[in-house]
Amino acid sequence: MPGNKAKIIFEFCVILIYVILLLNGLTPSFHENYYISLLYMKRNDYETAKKYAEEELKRSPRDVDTHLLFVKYYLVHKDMKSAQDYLKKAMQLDSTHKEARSFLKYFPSFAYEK
Amino acid sequence: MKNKLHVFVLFVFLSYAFFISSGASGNATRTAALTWSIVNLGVLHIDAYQNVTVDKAFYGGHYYNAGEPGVSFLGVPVYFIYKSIGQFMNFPLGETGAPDLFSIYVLRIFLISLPSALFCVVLHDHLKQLSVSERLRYRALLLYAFCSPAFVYATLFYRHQLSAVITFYVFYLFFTMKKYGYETHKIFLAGLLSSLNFFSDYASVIPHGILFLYFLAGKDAWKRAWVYFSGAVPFIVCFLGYNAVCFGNMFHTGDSYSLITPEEAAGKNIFQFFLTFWKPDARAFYGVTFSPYRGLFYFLPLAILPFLGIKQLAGRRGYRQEVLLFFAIILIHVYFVSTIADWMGALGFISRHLVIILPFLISLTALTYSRYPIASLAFTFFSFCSALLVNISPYGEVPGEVRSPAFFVVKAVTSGFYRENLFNWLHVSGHTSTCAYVFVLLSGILFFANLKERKTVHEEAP
Repeated sequence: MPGNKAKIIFEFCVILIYVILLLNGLTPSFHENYYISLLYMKRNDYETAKKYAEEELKRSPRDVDTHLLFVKYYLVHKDMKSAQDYLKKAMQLDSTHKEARSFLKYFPSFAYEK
Repeated sequence: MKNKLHVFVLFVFLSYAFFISSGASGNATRTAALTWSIVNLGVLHIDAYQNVTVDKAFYGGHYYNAGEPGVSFLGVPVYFIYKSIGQFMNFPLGETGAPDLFSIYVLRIFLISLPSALFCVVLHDHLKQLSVSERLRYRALLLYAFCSPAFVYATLFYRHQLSAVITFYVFYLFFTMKKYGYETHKIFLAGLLSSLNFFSDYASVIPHGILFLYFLAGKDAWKRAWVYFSGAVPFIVCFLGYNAVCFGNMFHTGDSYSLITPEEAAGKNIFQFFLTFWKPDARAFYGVTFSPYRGLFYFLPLAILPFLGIKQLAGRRGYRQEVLLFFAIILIHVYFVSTIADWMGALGFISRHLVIILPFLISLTALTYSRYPIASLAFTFFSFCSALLVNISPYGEVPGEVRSPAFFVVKAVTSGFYRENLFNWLHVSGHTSTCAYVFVLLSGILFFANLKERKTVHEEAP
């Protein structure tokens, strides 16, 4: 039946359009890797967390929250110098950021340029 | 026959109860905070619990629930009984001022999950009235319960799912009255539920307004409109009284003094919040319809079916008015949500504000389901996967900052991060309990989707 064939082709076209739309949304955009990194941190898997944080930083280099992931990472590894560097970058991006300011207690002699 | 439906409702309820609310979202905690304040301290402000939630309002030296208080009031008897039982059994209930996260789970179970499961009876009966075959009826129930975002929202402590259930029930009352004759107590109940819904979710006033017009379109219905309005009085009085007591003005709500959006709120009255209706926003419209961020059709491709089968639906004798009503509710509400500033609904899955139209959308989907068998099957698969993945993902919803929710939930679940569930309390790992849950869920779905057909009921006839 030609009508049936046309209907089946139509249905496949609709599905194809949807699949293209779906695949478009299956790529990272913003903050996905940040939250994945956060989940790994909660699981104490800091190395994998750092890997995702690095990916997020590549996508959004001006994101304060992602910089703070590195601060946490280096604090856990007691690398105060690197932690301070990332906190400095975060504070330069947003000096009023609440969570960023909460890290200041770890660095008594901390100073940053706006 | 009835037993089958009872088993189905129980199956749906247990599937919803399996998940534990994280209790982290501002919406859930602000709603619970007001309930705790009323029961524990006998006050309407939430000063004692203000640290628990970010979604709060500040007026006259006190903190208040920044949204609709309806669900909090409905939670008062539930929390009171929970607390009494807890005290009687010597359960630790938490200090005043500290969040009792288990009580959020209990409130969610009784106020959201249970009504959502019971709603299947209403949807089943409605489809039966339309002579939809038994097999198709159960498939429609499965579509609503497990393939739509209702699956996600029935497991979270948000008002929107309750709002959807009440709205469709009001339609069901009007529809049965149109068919079998008007009854005063049913009209009164419809008015009461409409106002309760407004008290719990201000945006529901739009679908209820359209439903009221549908009611008025009935023969001599306008003569009975006063019964509907008298039914609405109790909760309208509650709404005005609550605002007057808390905010010194009957038309100023918690939103008017929200600390999350102080510039936007700035003492606006309830009418001013609806003025956005005249300001369409194309970006937001794309956002709530097709975008991978919060798009309804992106996460629920089944919703495309009614639009593909619109000709078939329009030709359905004896149901044209209802089809028109459903499309009006869906399109007007989608348009309205795309005009408001918070169209994305922050945390969630699709825009939370669209949950109210899901029963209408799924009803239309069920009526066009057999018209496009291949697309129906494919879209059922995609819709089910997206709802299930979000449900078992660690937050049970998607944080607002995540711009690509599909990528996030797939990545999180495949990396072994799961949502907390009841079995975790028995020290069963997230992976094992979630796999077992998915297995039982799929078995149940396959069982109900392939029920034996009863011979007395006709296949849907356009």
